[in-house]
Amino acid sequence: MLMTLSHQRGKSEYIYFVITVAAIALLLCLPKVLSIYGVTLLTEIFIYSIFSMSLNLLIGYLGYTSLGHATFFAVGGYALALLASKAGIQNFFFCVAATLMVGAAFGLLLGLITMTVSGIYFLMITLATGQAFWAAVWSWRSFTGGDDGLSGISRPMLVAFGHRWPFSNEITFYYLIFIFFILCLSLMYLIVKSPFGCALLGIRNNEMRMRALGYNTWRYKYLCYVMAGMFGSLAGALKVYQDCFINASSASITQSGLVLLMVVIGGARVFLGPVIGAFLIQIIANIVSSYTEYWSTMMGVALILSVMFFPEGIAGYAVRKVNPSTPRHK
Amino acid sequence: MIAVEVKNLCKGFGGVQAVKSVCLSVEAGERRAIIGPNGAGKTTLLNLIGGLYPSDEGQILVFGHEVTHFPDYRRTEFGVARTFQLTSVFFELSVLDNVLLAIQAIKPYRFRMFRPQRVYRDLFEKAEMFLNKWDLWENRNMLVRELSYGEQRKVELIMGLASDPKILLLDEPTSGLSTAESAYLAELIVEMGKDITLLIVEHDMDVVFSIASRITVLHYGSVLVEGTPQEISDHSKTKEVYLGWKDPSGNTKGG
Repeated sequence: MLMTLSHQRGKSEYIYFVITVAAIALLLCLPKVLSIYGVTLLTEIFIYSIFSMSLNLLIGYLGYTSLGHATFFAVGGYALALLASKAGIQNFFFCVAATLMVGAAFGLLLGLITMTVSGIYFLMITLATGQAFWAAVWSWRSFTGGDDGLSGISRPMLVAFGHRWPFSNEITFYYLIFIFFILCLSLMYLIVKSPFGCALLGIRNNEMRMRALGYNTWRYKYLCYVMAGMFGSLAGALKVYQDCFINASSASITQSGLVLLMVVIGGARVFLGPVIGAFLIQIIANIVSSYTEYWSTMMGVALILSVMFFPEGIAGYAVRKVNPSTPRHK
Repeated sequence: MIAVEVKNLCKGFGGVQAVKSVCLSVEAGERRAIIGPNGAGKTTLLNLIGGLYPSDEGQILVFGHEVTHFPDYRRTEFGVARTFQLTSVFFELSVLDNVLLAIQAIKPYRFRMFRPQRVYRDLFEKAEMFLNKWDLWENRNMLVRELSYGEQRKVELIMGLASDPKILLLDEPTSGLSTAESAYLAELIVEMGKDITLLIVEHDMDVVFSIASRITVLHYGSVLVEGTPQEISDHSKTKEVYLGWKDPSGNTKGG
């Protein structure tokens, strides 16, 4: 009986495994058939997927909706840009590690303020800290370049085993980002399925009961916020590697809103929902914008349609079609 | 050995003094019922012992350790667990997930981030034991929201028991249940191991008298009288404040 309990999803997991392998194989082959433009777009989608997945740790699992997640994106981006352009450090591993550390430090610090409240107050306080951070970045021109930003960052170069692997062209860079995408996805999957992740779901459902059971819920929430911040700043750093440029708009409310949109349209309660959201939003932003300059209107239409017809996001809708007994949003 | 000792405990909410210098001493293994009219401070007393909010004055000792200033989640370290009057479980999670979360709460790996919960077999073995014993195995994959009210109350009780508590605080375990369901639940509570000390707040006198080995009567936040069920049911003062009628002889000592 115990076997049926811990392995009850055995068959569907087999199917998931096959789908995952097929999807990875497809994504590995795509650069062979896509144009350079397509490859660049897909790379961007991977980066935004990491970003939206990181936000979804807070929204979908902990139940805390943040309007200031761009702060972490910018923190990671600026950490990398400053290291590369001002300090002149080119070591890829060092830069990524430093980015994660700075992201964690910001998470630890900001979390002390933001994680003291919940619900609508959390939304407001993340909006406030996000705007404050944006204003600081925007006005501190000598350090951040303000609106003009920082440039002169080059694509990463991997030096290991006496070889040098540059990721300077779009195809090699695609594969590098793809590795990060898979790595982050796997890590976040592990987190949400771990005892820690299960406790996050418990907190979203009923924090008082979690405390009565013996969980130090504040520590869970704080750690979750820090983790979201670290993944978010990694996404920001990768975006800087792609653009070789960063400016204050990366910390803007528009950026926070965009990633929130990805989570909402994709579906917060489904693990891969934010990836679908990131894909759709990037497609709309890039492809529609090449036909009409009113592409942001299209974004608005997409949001309205999704809220009207897919209140649980596209992925949430799909999951409910397959399994009607899935719990609904509160 | 004394499991729970409460010394001069006070708690007020604004102008209302809900608990007024209550002293209580509960022996290990005892089944102590706390009864009293509405607003007597029964649930407040239980919440203070459970640590849901801090007390204004006084001390709470659990097996000799002072826990007065510990937050609720730390009191589980001393073996305190509780259930709520209004069912407080994870309604949007499956029955199995509810029980797993409850058992996991005191495990050393509860903070583990990079290993799936599934690999911890001891969690699942224990969950299976509970679900079988409480007749919920068939419903393990249902959301708690979809269960009947009586079954939800059972999940609530499992949440209290899952951490192998030494002291279990039961806040009206049978509230809202039919007479038959109450009797059934009372039977399950009576069957709980004697290594668990029970503190029960309950309105249903049949349940109280079938479970309790000692009874404390609260009235306006203070202890009115304490004794065995027999002593309590014979006590004139209890009859007056709680059972609702005056002793014909008019003998209300201390009144």
